[in-house]
Amino acid sequence: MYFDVIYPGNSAMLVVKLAEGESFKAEMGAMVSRSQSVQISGQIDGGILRSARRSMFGAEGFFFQNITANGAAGEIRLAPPELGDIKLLDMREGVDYFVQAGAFLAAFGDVQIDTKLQPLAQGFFSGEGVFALHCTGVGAVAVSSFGALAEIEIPDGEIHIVDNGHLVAWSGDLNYSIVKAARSWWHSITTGEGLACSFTGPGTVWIQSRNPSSFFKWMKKVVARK
Amino acid sequence: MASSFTGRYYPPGTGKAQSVRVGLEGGMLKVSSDNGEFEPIPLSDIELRAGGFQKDRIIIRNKVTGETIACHDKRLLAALKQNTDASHLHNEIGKISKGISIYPVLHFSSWIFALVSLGTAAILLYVGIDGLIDAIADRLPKSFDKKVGEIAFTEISKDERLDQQKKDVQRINKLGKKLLANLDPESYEFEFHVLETTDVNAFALPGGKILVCSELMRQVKNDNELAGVLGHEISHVTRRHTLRQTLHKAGVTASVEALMGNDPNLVGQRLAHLLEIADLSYNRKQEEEADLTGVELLVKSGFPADGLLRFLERLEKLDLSSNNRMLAIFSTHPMPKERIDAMRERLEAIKKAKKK
Repeated sequence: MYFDVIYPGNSAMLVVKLAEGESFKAEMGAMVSRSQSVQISGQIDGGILRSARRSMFGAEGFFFQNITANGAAGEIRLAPPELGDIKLLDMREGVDYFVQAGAFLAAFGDVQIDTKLQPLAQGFFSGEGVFALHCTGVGAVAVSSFGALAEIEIPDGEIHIVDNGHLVAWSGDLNYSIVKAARSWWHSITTGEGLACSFTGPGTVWIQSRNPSSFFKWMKKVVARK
Repeated sequence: MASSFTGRYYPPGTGKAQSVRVGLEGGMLKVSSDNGEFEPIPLSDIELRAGGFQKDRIIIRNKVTGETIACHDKRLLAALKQNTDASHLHNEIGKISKGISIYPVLHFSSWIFALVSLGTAAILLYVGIDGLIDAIADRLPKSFDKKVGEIAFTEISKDERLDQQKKDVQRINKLGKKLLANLDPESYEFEFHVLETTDVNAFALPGGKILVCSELMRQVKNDNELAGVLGHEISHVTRRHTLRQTLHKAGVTASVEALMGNDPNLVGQRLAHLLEIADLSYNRKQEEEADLTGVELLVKSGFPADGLLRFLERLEKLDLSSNNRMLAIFSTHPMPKERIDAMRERLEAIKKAKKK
């Protein structure tokens, strides 16, 4: 199986070349084009309970697409709905990542995707939901961003603060807590502004250069003016 | 190495992990990757803490070089304990093993938060659900009441005997007609029926079918009291109390189904069945509404306003200890003091208005 990101930048696309019989899983509705031999079927990954939990709390579709090359080798192209980049996270034994709800695009190899409960207060106030998608196993996970995708390495013991709306994924060894950027907790919670995730290393965070909800608010203003 | 554990190695000053195996040998922490072995780390040089966002992994830091190893496997803690006498490590192991061992159970504060949230949600649901169902009932077309009422009436007719005595049927229709003359003609299509039973009760089905028990007709002293009962039941229909109660019993899902127009026959059948089997006594607010609206209808129609009150007061004075089916009316029409007081107040107001 060969997979790569083409047109990196604001309109990135994922191209996957499959040998006959090879398969991988992807987010529902991500297909752009495919060879005739490539077949897409719904897949309840990890059983109904796990999928339902992922769907309810992780904001991903109930099913993943199971994409298989049947009868012959084939190729498929995938893209996220928003303008932005795609990053391939290398999955190795013992390495785990948390992926923000909505940022998951595809998983290759023996990768398990589950939801993991966040500390509840953090889940509610981080804007990322109570669960995050937790990826473990060996292979690769493709995540998508709104805007450019940047990688921030946080050495052991160092703290790095990321605005919630810019979060894409983070490595499992990072500890994090929700901090206020506004002058008081009440102000932060009631306005929805000024909440950020404070990560403590070691680990890596991937961020997106645009905040979807801020962009939507800006769009609404522009549309309202016209 | 005796036993090894999967982990991640972070070179000093970086956040980029390498997959490694971690083991203990001769007072040293040994780390290896596919590319070879790293410099062993003396256990006296390491410090430990719980890491990860759920504090579910062990973070080992080399105090001298700054390199860091992360590991999920809590058996590493036991191995460390066995391989070192350093008291500071034993203390750190004790501190973090508690945190690691409760994984994936949530922290206590999270449970409190969860319980408070669930409690708040339950209260909001409890408070809000009545309003939601009432809002749904308000949006249903009158034809829906009629459908439910017809289905329920068909079912009731199968099990109960309708009194065909001309005298009773004529009497009730005559009174009903007089009352209906003062209702909005766009209201419901009312029908009055007499049920042959020894209960003293009356009941309004959604859509306008009113059932009066034959024994009640014998217990009322005069037409004024019977008109009082009919006015009250007509008000239950016009205010859609029976439908609301049925929807409340059926729950939000069935209510939304009704609103969405999902097979009215099927939804109606279910609601009508519920009407038969469930305890659909009205609540106090609905009874007061029906009392007051009924009194207004009586006055408009030229009947004395206190017909229902007199009848119910007389029944209430009966011996409650006896197994008296005459009290059946109170099982579906509770009669608390507040309700009587409200009715009396309204009657006083009507009297005063008449005198002016």
